[in-house]
Amino acid sequence: MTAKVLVVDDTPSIRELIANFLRKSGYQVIEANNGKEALEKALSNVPDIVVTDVVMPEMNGFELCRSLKKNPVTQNSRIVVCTSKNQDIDRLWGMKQGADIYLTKPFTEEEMIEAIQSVAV
Amino acid sequence: METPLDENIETIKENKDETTPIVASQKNYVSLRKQLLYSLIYALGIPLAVATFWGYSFLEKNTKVTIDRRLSKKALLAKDILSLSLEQAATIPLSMTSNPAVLEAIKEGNKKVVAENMTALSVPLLESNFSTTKLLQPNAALNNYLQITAKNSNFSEIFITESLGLNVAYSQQPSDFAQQDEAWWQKAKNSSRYISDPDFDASSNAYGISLIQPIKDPKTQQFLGVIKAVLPISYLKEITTYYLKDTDFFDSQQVQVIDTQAKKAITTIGGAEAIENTAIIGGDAIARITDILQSVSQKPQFTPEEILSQIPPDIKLRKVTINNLIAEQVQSSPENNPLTLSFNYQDKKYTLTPIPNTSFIVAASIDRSEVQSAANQLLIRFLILILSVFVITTVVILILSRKITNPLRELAVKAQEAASGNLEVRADLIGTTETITLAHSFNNLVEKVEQSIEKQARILHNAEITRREAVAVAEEQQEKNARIQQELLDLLGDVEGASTGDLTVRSRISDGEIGIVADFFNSIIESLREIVAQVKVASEQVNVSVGENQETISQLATEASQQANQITQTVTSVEQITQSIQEVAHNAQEAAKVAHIASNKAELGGESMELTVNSIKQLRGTIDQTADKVKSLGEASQDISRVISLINQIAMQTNLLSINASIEAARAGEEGKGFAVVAEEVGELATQSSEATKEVGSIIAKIQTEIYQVVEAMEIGLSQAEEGTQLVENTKDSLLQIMEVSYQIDHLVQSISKTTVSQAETSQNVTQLMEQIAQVSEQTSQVSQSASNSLESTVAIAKDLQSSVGAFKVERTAETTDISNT
Repeated sequence: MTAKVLVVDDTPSIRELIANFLRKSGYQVIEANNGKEALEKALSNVPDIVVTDVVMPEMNGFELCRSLKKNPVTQNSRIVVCTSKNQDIDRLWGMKQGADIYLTKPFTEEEMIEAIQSVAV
Repeated sequence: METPLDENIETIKENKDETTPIVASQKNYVSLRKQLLYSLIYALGIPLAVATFWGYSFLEKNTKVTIDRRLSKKALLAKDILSLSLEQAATIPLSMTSNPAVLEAIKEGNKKVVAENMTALSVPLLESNFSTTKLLQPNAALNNYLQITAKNSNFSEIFITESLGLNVAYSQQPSDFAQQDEAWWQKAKNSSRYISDPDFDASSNAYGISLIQPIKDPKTQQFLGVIKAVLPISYLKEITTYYLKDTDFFDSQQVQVIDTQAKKAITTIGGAEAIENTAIIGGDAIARITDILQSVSQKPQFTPEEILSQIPPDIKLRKVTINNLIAEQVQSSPENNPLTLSFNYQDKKYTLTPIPNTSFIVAASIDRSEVQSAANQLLIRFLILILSVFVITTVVILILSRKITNPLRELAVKAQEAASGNLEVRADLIGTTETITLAHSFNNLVEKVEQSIEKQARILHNAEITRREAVAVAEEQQEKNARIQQELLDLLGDVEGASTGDLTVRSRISDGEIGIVADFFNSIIESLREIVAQVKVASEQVNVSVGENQETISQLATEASQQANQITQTVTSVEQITQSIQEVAHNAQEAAKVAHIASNKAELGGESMELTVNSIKQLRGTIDQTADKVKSLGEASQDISRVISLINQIAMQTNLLSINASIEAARAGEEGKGFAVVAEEVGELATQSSEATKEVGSIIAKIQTEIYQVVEAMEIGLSQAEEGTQLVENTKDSLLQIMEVSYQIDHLVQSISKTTVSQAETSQNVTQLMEQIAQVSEQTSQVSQSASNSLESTVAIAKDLQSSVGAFKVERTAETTDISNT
């Protein structure tokens, strides 16, 4: 069974790029424009993995992390944070909010796939 | 190459300004000129001030002493003028005593007196004899001589008397001819010449002093006569004024010649002329002092204490000095050592001196204010002098200091210019050798400085490059700071609402350095939101449940309080019952007492009854005995009536006998006659006895009747007594019954009393119990009330909590509700 991945990013080009990488590797991809939309979609679809940006309007990536972890429906979904915020404090905070992988932009296809694979098991 | 150099110089200028602020330093240091001036003040000003003070005090004292002396001198001058005038005037009469014409005239006169035996004539007679001429014998030549002498020597009159006091010659006709009754004349006759007190002279019609000179024979020293010369006061006044007017007077200075006898001033000289003033300056106080001085100065010997002790204490004199009171000196040469008394009284200064041999005192006075003003004028002059010396010295010093400091100042200006950056400046070589050397050294110094500055400029150029780089870095840093600050501002703007309770706010995370902090805030606010939502629910629940309980408990409280009220009422009723029971007990006790008393009374009644029965019984016995006695009395009376009838029979037989005896007597005739009388007498007696027995018989019959009646009455009494006894017995029985009943009542009542007492105790206990119950129910009521109250406050607190939590805004949209509920 193929894993269901929810890709969240407010920049359409990056979102598309990630989605393409994942589809290519055989994952089922759902896309969301921001955190709020992502939460709604996660509740209805219950993804295995959520790949999210941090800086977004309406609801940011960390808020999304907390909401997912609080809700029993989605608390088992694995989370990969993919962001341009690359300081140590950002990484530490992200891991605390429930992220399993903290990936910094720019990233390569390999890096992304490797990260997804590491949490997909 | 030039631009950096200029900048360097500017930098140097700045540095110099910072390290050596010349302008500021000038304020802290004192210029040479000022220093000179200060030294001048210390070196010249202080000694001058001291000298001024010392000089002034010395001169002030000196001035005052001088004025004092002038005052005394004026007094002494007036004194001298007057004494000299008097002395001079006194020489005229003296010279006349050796005038042959005068001596001749007196001798002529004396001769005439002797010849005409005038010594025996009285004064009025002499006066009337010589009333026209007032002269012993006319002597026109001598009169003329006296007239001329008087006129020349300013006497108002001169006249001469001989040894009896009769006028020998005169300058003008005097009022009297005979002078021997005049006091001055008698005094002159007995002593040497003298000057009289001022007096009004009638003959000369003037107020004057008389100079009295006795005339003695040059050879024999025999008293020949008297010369009297009157010197008018107006002359003394005139001569004093004449001599004093040209002397130097102060404005307020006045000299008075005081007549101590008349207590007035004969003349007052103030300033340049005599003033028509007879009042003594200084008034009564000075008049009294002149009196004292006059009286003391008349004594041959006196001490200063004597004068001082006589001055009355109410006159306050100050600075009193008494001159020349060494008695020997005064005695030896009074002219050279005149007595003066100086003092301050009120606002004037006085010097008094007596005129020897007269009652005159010269008083010189001056206002003390004038003395002071003289001293003050002196002070002003002195101050002006000192001030001008000081000013002149200051000016000289200033000019001198300017001359010295000017080149130095110029050099200082140049130096300041150089210090402020103008290194082209050069000092002029002027002034003294020292200043020229100084200027030269300054020029060398400036050149050296110029060279070293150029060297420094190159080093500074390199430093400048480094500095610019550092500035760029700093600017970058600053930009970064500004960015962070902007981010912080955005963040604060986002979360500001949270501080007023709006928990729906959220901060936008940014790409910046502190973007993560924004999310940190979000996380906190989310947690708070959840907590607040939970608190809201909990407080609502509390509110509802407490509201339910509250009603029940307040009902309970109301009921408890009603119960308490009822119990209180019950307690009141029980108390009332207790009270009535106590009353019953009390009444029962009272009844028992009454019953007891009745019982006692009945007992007493029983006893009395017993006594009554006994006495009735005794009465019956007595009555029985009496009846017996009466019966025996009746029997005795019957015996008496039997005896009486026997006596009656005897009487009748006696009577019969007497009749027989009389018959026999009659038969015997004469001889029986006497016997017949006796028989007759016996017969009469027998008749009388019979009658008496009859009377006794009737009395006894009466007694017997009465005895019978008594017996009857006795029997009735006896039956009555028996009836009484019966009645008393009955009564006694009734009383016994009463006693028994009252005993029973007593018992009953006592048992009632006991019962009621125990009842009362019981009801007392009941009351106490009820009271305890009342207290308990009161407490219950209070406790339930306070429970109700605490519940109310709990509700209030819950409501407060609700409203406080309500201040937090937790719901914005339907989506967030889900979060808060979970």
